[in-house]
This record gives sequence, C-alpha cells and structure tokens, in this order.
Amino acid sequence: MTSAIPKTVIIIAGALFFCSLPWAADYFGEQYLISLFTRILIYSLAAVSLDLLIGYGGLISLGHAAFVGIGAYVTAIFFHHSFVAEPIAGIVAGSDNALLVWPLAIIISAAFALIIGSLSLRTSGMHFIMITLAFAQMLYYFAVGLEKYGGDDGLSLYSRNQLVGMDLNNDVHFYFVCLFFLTLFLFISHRLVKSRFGLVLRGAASSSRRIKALGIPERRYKLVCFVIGGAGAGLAGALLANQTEYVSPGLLHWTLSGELMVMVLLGGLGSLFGPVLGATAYLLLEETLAMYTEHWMVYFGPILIMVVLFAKRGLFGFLTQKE
Amino acid sequence: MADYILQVKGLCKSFGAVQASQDLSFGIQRGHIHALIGPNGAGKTTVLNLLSGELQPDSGSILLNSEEINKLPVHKRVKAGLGRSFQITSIFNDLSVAENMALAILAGRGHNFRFWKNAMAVDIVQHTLTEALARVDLSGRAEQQAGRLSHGEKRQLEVGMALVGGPQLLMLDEPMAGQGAGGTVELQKLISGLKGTTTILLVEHDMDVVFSLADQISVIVYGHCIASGSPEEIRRNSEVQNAYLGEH
Amino acid sequence: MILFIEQLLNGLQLGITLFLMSAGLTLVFGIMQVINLAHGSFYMIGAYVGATVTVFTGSFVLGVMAALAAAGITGMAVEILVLRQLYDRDHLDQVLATFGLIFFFNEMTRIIWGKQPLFMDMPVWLKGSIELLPGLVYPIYRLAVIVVGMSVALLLWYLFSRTRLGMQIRAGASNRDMIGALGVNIKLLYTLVFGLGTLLAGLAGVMAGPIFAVESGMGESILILTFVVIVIGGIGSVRGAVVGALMVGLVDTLGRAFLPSLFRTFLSSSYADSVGASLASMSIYILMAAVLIWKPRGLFPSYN
Ligand SMILES: Nc1ncnc2c1ncn2[C@@H]1O[C@H](COP(=O)(O)OP(=O)(O)OP(=O)(O)O)[C@@H](O)[C@H]1O
Ligand SMILES: [Mg+2]
Repeated sequence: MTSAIPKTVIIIAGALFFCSLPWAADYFGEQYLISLFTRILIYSLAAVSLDLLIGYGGLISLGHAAFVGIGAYVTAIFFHHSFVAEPIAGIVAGSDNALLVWPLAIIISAAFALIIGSLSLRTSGMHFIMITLAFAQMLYYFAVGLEKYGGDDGLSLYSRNQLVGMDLNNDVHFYFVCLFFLTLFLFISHRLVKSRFGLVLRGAASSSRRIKALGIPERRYKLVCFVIGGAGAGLAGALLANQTEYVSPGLLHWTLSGELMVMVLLGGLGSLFGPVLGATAYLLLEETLAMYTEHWMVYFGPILIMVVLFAKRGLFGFLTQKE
Repeated sequence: MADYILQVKGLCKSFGAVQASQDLSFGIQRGHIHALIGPNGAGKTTVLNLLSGELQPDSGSILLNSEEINKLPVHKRVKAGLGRSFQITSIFNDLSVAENMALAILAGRGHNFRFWKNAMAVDIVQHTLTEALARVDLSGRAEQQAGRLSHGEKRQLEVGMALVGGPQLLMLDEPMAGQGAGGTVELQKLISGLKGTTTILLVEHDMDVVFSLADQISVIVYGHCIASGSPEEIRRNSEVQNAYLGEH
Repeated sequence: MILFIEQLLNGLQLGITLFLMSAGLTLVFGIMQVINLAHGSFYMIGAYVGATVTVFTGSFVLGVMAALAAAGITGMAVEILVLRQLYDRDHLDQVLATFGLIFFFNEMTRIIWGKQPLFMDMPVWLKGSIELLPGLVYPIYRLAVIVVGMSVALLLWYLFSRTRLGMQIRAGASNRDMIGALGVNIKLLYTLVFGLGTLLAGLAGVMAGPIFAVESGMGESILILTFVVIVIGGIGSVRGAVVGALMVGLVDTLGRAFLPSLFRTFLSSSYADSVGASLASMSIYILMAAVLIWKPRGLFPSYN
C-alpha cells in the first residue's frame, strides 16, 4: 500500500498551508477563502478540544457544542451590554475588550464543564453519552428562553471585539489571531497528552479496571480532562461569535455536537492534528456538496456510515500509517 | 500467634440465585504464598474481587493489617497495600509496554496532576523502568504496543505492573493460564523469588505449581471454604480428595 | 382545579407518547448494547407516512396502519443493513453511524415531501371535545391517544410477562449472556425487537401528527426527551420506561403550565414569566440530574 508520510511532514505542510493562505487568497482574488478558512480554524479548535475528551479521555460526549455556545454567548452578552451601556443584571459592566471577555468566556465554559462533568461522570458508557446530550440540550432551551438576548432569534454583535495592537475587524488580522489560538491549543494539548496527567488519562480510557487496580481514582482525571475540553470549546465559541458577529441557540444545538464528533472521527481519533484535517475536510466537503445540491446531507449521511464502518483510522491515520 | 496480613470473616456474596461466596473465613500470614484452589466456577475470582473492592460483600468483614477495609473503594485499598492481576488479562492495550510500566510506577508516587513534563522523562521512571521491565523479561519489547504482545507476554507485563507498586499483598488470578511451559517456569521463578518479601494470594489450577510454591492452601467449592491448611494437610484431607483433587 | 386536571391529562398524554418511544429503544440499548440516535427518525417516518396515506385514502385508520408498517419495515431494514454491523463496535461508532442515518432520513423527507411542514387532519369521529367533569372539557382526540397508549402498554406488559418470547427478550435485556444460553436465534430476535421498537415509534409519530406539525427533524426533539426517560428509568428496563415517561411527561407539562404563575407570586410579572418559562423548559433535565445523583444507573437498573 501507500508508504507512510511522517507525522512531522504533514504537520509542517499543514502549518505552511495555513500560514500562507491569506496571501494565496489575495493572489487568486478569492477573498471569501479567508473567512471560510477562519471558520475552519475555529471549528478545528473546537474539534481538537473534543478530541482530548474522546480520543484521549475515552469520554464520548455528545454535548460539546454546549461549551462552544456558552463561550459565544458570554462574548455576545458582554458586547451587547457594552453597546447599550447597561450593566449586566445591573451589576457588571459589559465589555468588548478581547483580553477581558475571551478569558471570561473560557472560564465560564470551564465552570459549566465542571458542573456538567461532575454529574455526568457519575455514569459511564451509554448513560454518559445520553446525559451529556441531555444537559447540552437543557442549555439550548435555556438560550432559547433568554428573551432579553433575542431568544430564538439570537443576538447580533455589530462589530468584533477590541484587541490591542490588532484590528479584528480586518479579516486577515482575525484569521491570524484564530491561527495563533489553534496552534497554541494544539501545542498545549500535545504537552498535556504526553504528561503524567495525559498518561493516566490514556490509561483510564484504555482500561478503567487496570487504572483502578493501580490505585488511581480515575474520575478526577477524567473530570479535569472534561473541563479542559470545555475551556477549549469556550474559546472556540468566543472566536466564532466574533467571526459571524452573531450568536444564536443553534450554537448549542446537539447537531453541532454531532458534527464536531464527525470532524474528529474523519480526521483521526486521538491524533490532535487529525481533527484539524477532519474539520477542514468536513467543511470543504459541505461547501462543495452544497454547491451542487441543496440536499447534500442525503449523500453525506451514507458517506459518514461508510467511513465509520470501513475507514475508522481517519485521514491522519490514513496518511501516517502503513499497512 | 501467627501474624496475619489479611483476615476474612464470614464473607457472603450472591448474584441473584448464585451464592458465589458463602460464609468464607480464612487468614493469610505475612510472607506466605497462600493458594486458593477449587473447581471452575467455585468462586475464587469472586473472593479476589471482594478483597480488591470491585465487589461489595453482602455481609462479612475484611481486615488488612487488622483494619477493616470493607468500606474503602478500589483505589484506596491499593494505597493500603493490595495489588492484583486479573484472570482476564487487563493491561493498557493502547499504550506501549514502556508506558504501561511507567504508569504503574507513577501510580504509587503521589498525584499525577502534572500537566507539562513528559511522563517518560520523570526521574523515577528513568531510574526504575529498565529494571522493572527486565524483571518480567520485557526489555526488548519496550516500544511495542501492549495490545500486540503475545498472550504470555501480556501476562508477564500484568504481573510486572502489579509488582512495581510494591504491594504488601499481591493477588494473582491464574497467572499461569495460557502460558507455554517456558513461561510457566519463568513466572514460577519470579513468584518464588518474592517469597518472604511479598505476601501472595495465588489462584491457580496447575496443581504442580500450587503444591511446589504454596505455604498454605485454601480449597473453595461452591462458595464454601471446605479446607484450609498446609499442602501436606490438604493432600491428606479426604473431603478435598473427594470434592476436588480426586477428579484430577 | 379543573385547569390542573386538564394539565394532568396533557402530561399523561405526553408521557404516553414518550413511553411508546422509549419502550422499544430501552430494549435496543439493553439487549443489543447499541446506542441508536436514529430512533426519532422512525417517529418522523410514522408521522409522514401516516399523514400522506390519510390524505390520500381519506381514512385515518389506514393512515395509522401504513405508518406502523412503514416504521416497522424501515426499522428492520435499517437493523439488517446498518445496525447489525455495529453490535461489536464501540459506542462512538454507533453514535456516528446512527447520526449519519439521521442526516439521511431528514434530508430524504425533505426531498420527498418538501420543506413545508405537513398538517394532518384528525378524523371526523375523533374531532371535538367531551365534558369529562362539570367544567372540564377535553379534546376527544387526546383522550384517544391516552387510551391507545395505555392499551399498547398493557399489550406490552402481556407480551413481556406472559409469553415465552417476551421472557426471552426481558432476560436478554437484563443479562445479555442469558440469551445465547437459552438457545434463541439471536439474529432474528434482534431484528424483531428492533422492528417492534421502531413500530412503536411510528405509532407515537402518527398519533402526534394531528397535534403537532409534521416536519423534517421532528424526531430529534422527542428523541432527546426519550433519552431523558431512559436515563431516569434505567437502560433495558421497560418498567423504568413507564415510570420515567410518566414522570417526564407530567413534570414537563405541569412545569410549563404552572411555574410562571408560581413565580409571579413573588417576582415581578415580566421577570417571573421569563424565569418561569426558562426553568420550566429545564425542569425535566433538573429532574434527571436529581435522579442521577441519587441513582446513577437509573431507577430500575439492570445487571449489565
Ligand atoms: N458479576 C457476576 N454476575 C453474576 N454472576 C457472577 C458474577 N461473577 C461471578 N458470577 C458467578 O459466581 C460463580 C463464581 O464465579 P467465579 O468467577 O468467582 O469462579 P472461579 O472460581 O473464579 O471460576 P474459574 O476457575 O472458572 O475462574 C459462578 O457461578 C459465576 O457464574
Ligand atoms: Mg476465576
């Protein structure tokens, strides 16, 4: 079969591609590519954070979109209140400063992940899948019920956040900010999965029985993993809110959770860089199929089933492994 | 007075209609190799599961170093000095052999909420990994994915991982099962080498192994402990002869 | 008081719909250990086929029959073509493959029936309302739904506790290894159980048709409620499904009806309405969380 390509080669190629994309788009005069690939970067970030859960922690969460949504809503709500110059709940002033709002989005998403995770991790297996889904759906309905922030219709931002030394309303600047955060998160995750914590986590995913028999209380480690994943998704949410300058309950919907899962699988479970490939492939495929038919999902569904049944290693695995 | 590391009193456990343990009482002396024998389905694994905390007894008590450990969860019992291997090999199939062993080494060294430094570069791993792998003859396999080891090698790895934490009482559930003759001899050597330093509770079907290694033997049939004593006593016990050894 | 009884009946009706959805699904989870996200699709198929056949033939009864057949047969086909390949896979594969099924079925209905929701008429003989108690006027159709659902529940109870097949199924749901030991044709049994589950989902769908709009994606919101029911009841337990479905149906309906006014007694009215409404839509999830803290494996856990 095909000879394997070393991982580093793929990663370097990917890095070069993403770094040079704005110039390429400029050269070919296809400016919309920048915003398309910004979206790809952001979804990649969310998918990588989900890969930490599924691929390394063995935690099949079907509610990951909730944390994307929380990050996005935090950003939008702070923006809204600074825009109308009215404190949030009459106490906290709004803000459109990225250095303030984005960390808040991360922290609040992480806090929700802590609560949802500690409840959900009381269970495992099928229960865990259904419970994460149900909690995410609960937050979805909560967002729908937020009349003050547009309810079903969502909330517009009118402008992106302020970041010192950058003009986020400039698409190229914003693109590189997203690329920076994706790279940072990839690097952190890479260290994480190789660390003692990561070793315990991978062990727990591989054999929960053995990890307990070694005297390790696995649930705490899984919970921390769940929180870190939630934090990453929260950051992705904050970026997404900035990109589209709009948030709606759709961001918390479980179909987004499912799509993120598809991206992870498509790219390669437990490979960190794989989900980036997966998100890229998924969104480009969607974009392309949608050009030919509005009913692209009718083809995509069976494709997905085929991938699950026959090509489980994903793109990254396909490229890097022999046999 | 004998020095008991573990004492079990009136232990009962049933699964629906199956009474897997019925009023079991026995003690394991420090430093001994204590064998647990009995026909298939007699309830030997259930005893280990009760001791390790994977199962909760319906009644009865378990004392480790004279302290009740009934209420402790699995991981706390490990901290208290229990280690084990499983009848169905249970290692981390997705990790490399070296990572398996490193995880076993790190497990007993405080918490593992260390997020940055590579686990394999931690001092204690660097110092002890080579020796720990050599002890179970797996030095040449360090980088291999554990799931791809041969059955016998997986067994060796599992025993090695249970040993590396330095348990006071090591419980081995049929470690020889599925081993080739060579592997059995190797493991037998390893176990007898531990005599005196680590107390061992050994579940084993191979009677030659049992009678050559054990200091004490308990026989379980249908959840009952029908006899307990030295290999000589067990050999002479007529009830055991009838119920169990006679079959062989 | 009248209002309360009326809402109680509404809650009962939702509970029964949820029971029809969850009875089959909990068995699929319990026996085959497969997580199936596409169960809502059969609810949708039931509703669409029912609505279409009813319009075409003018007979609601024929519509219901067609819905049951369509959902049951599609279900068995899906079991044979897709689900069967997934029994030995991990849950992640099952989630993703059945997620793909949802994509396919939702889009398929859009291709066949278009984007606009269908509206399904009630049959004339079920139109109108009757006075149950002085002052309590209740739609006949909804009463009929309750009666049909209860009859099905009784039928299932008979099937599971009085027939050989039922006992085998139950044994399998609470202890998977049992089935093989009983010498049953497992493949066939799986297909039948799956078909029965999807048929019940189709029934729930066609009965919901005249009450809600029939549209693509309608299966997913009910699916999630079904999951909540199963989590509360315990995977693999039909009894759990009954109890869970009624709890969820009642809590959801009563919460929506009365929480806002409850909050109005101590909060300003506009604020009370929005807090009450938000909380009401979250109430069943809070219920689920509470059950989870108390019994992580549900109210009627099985051995697996
Ligand atoms: N989790 C369980 N649920 C139900 N029954 C069980 C469970 N575990 C064990 N049993 C039953 O308890 C009895 C004792 O089983 P156990 O595994 O302890 O036997 P054993 O002595 O280890 O047998 P073997 O030599 O075959 O390993 C058996 O009848 C078995 O079927
Ligand atoms: Mg055994």
